[in-house]
Amino acid sequence: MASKLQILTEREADILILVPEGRIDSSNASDFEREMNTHIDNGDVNLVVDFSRLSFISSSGMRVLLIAAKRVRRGGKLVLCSMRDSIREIFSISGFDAIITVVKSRQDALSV
Amino acid sequence: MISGNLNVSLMARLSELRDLAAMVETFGEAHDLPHRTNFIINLALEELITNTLLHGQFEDGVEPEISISLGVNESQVVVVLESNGGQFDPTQDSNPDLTSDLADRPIGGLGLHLVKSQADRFEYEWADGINRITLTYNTS
Repeated sequence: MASKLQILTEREADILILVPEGRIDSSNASDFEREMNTHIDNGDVNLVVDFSRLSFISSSGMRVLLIAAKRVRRGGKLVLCSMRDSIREIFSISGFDAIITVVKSRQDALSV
Repeated sequence: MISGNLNVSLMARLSELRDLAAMVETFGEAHDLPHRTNFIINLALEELITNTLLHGQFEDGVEPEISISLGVNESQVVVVLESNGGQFDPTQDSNPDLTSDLADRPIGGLGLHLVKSQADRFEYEWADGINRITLTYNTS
């Protein structure tokens, strides 16, 4: 059964950190999109998505990140961190790592 | 690598993809598949099945029917995905824009590109009203 996507949120100064858990696929990408849009609508434009608890993401989840990056590009930034190798590979194949900042660790993400 | 097969038929709802992913994961672990191979097989199934369910042409009263088989031998994993829903050849999909800057980058069209890029062979046949996609992944 599909289960609602769990996303932990933390704040560090003006940066909002989102930590999605498990999988983002076509059955729950809409949860992810709703959550990202809510934060951006509320004025959060400096966003970090920490992938450390994410084991899987498909193109439906990557689409949400692209939309968010486009929305915050004037005046803010979306940074992704802590990806496992198999996820990092698909960001590279899709050319996303050329347009969305991907860094190794949470610490690096907060200092971009 | 331990040889073996897995056959699964789906009722074809997006919510079933979770169960399928868990089965593929368990199968991969039982057959000592590398983590990356497990990941890219699950990604390919997610992208291809989502595509069929969202864009397949199902006539009134015709339910989506999808079956998947995985076969492992010493050097390869072969995944066969059969579906109804009208003829659609995913190997012919045009290449998406992967180079425009953020402002101009189109949203969508990535899923099949990922499948195509990660498979060592990506083949398609249409016969008797069934789409048959065969994906081959080398493991050694």
